[in-house]
Amino acid sequence: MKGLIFKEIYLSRKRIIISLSIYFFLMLICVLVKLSAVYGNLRLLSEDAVRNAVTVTFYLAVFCSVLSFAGFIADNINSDIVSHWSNFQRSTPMTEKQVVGAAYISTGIMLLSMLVLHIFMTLMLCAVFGETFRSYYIPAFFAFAFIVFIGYAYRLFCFYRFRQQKKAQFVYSVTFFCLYLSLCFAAYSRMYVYKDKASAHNAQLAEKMGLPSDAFGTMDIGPFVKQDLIAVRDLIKSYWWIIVLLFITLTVVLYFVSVKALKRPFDLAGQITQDKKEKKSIFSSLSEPKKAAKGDDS
Amino acid sequence: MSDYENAIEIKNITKHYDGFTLDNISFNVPKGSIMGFIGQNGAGKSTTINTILNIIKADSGEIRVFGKDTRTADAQIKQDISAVFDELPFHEQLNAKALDRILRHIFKGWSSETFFGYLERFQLPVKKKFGQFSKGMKMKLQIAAALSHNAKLLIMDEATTGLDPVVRNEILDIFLEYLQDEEHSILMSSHITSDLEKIADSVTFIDKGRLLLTGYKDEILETHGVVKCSKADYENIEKGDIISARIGDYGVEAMVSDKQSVSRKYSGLVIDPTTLEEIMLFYVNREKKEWS
Repeated sequence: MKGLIFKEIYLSRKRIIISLSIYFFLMLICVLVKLSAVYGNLRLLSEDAVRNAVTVTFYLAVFCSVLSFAGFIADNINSDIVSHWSNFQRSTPMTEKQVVGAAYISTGIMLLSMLVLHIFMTLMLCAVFGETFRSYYIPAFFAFAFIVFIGYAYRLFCFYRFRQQKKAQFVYSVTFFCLYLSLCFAAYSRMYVYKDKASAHNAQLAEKMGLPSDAFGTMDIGPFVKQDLIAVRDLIKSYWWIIVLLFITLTVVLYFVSVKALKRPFDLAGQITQDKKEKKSIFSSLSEPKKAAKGDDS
Repeated sequence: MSDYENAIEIKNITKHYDGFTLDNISFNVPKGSIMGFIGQNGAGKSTTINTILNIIKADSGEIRVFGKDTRTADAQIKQDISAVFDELPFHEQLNAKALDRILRHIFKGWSSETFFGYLERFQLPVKKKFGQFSKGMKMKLQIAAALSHNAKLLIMDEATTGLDPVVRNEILDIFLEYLQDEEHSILMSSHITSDLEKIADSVTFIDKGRLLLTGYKDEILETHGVVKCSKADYENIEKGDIISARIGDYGVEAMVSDKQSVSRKYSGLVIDPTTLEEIMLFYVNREKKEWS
């Protein structure tokens, strides 16, 4: 397994370097914003504007720069198929459990390294920006790492299941697009509830003041969003263990289904036949005899 | 692990694809020998090799390697098997140094010293990425890797195809060195029958998924022969006595599988010794019986 872990990390070297470069570039820009706010052109703006700019920059540095680490994640599965490593792997004594385990461990190592680096960088940012290192930062970073890990594990499963980049990519993308759509739908429907609440609240206020009911408009939904966010935070605080349990369960399930998918012989998985499938007219089968010896001498 | 006679025993392997069937294949690779596995493209050589390696699953039949069933003792068996494929199965971004670090943790018997020794012998660069290797270099690299973990069985799928004669000879010499150890065996599929003629102890020939011949190479070459005669003489030969015949403008060449009985039956016929290539050619055309 050690050999496979080394292989995964070795093959990810380029991506690691690129991700780190983007990460440090973003960090540098954020620090430059802060320096500009203290010594440069930004300080010429109003105090409020400068404070807002610096705060936004700080949170961008803490929460958005970490997104560049998503590129850290090894995407070596397809290159295993393209380079015929998958075939070779089957001729070695490595078991499917070891193969999937090695992929999980190498990704875990990379994510953990990223977390340590980012926590260290956040501490430095706090010192530079004069902000406090808040207690929720670390759980938030871990949550991000969990999401990335689950995404990776699911992607791995899709590749082992379909053994074809295009098909796996399609299923993977469709799943996450559906997830994204359902989140958008939830947020959008919530917005309607906010609007109704806001208009009811404003109408009540206007009535008390003896003004027409639409005097304050209906768009001030900020307090309700904040209420919801607080509710979510409280929910996470009280039931964080459910999230951890869910993560572990998902990881275990994805591990076993990936092992099962990988165990299927290549012919049953359809790799050989599908890779050799040619684009044909739907009528070609009427005029051409069936090609023989599929999967042979490949 | 040494109480077995055959490195590989294949019994009645059948594998069905749409349009192709590997039909009831059985043969043995005796321990300490090299078996040439010949057949046309699409004959089923790779399918057979892939079933031995458990890359694909046979519909029925049994495969034993070192006397053990591959379905139950797969990981154990694979410590002692080396496979060489027609294409390099290593990532192009890797170099020999990285490959050594990977494979030393995969194979218990891996020897970095042996691996780098072979690289030096083949004059392969250690730090150059595999993507920049030529076809010959890639094949040598695969063979170097295959021979570096003290495997008892080497399975090669078209390993010498596409290589120039100098490189092929170099590789064949290494195989002969490898076979100096009586525990070592080789199953080598190839189109290049001249290579097999040089080094193989036994030969298995399949065509369209069916086993046509299997046995010791010398016996096969001894029993088979090419009858060279005129068309008039050819008319006198019973069609059942020949595999197939090549009809030329000036005469006929017919392959016989039992030289001795044919020469007894038809006195005066000239029966020349044959080669594996000719045997393959005449057997492939056996259904047509007569061809030009």
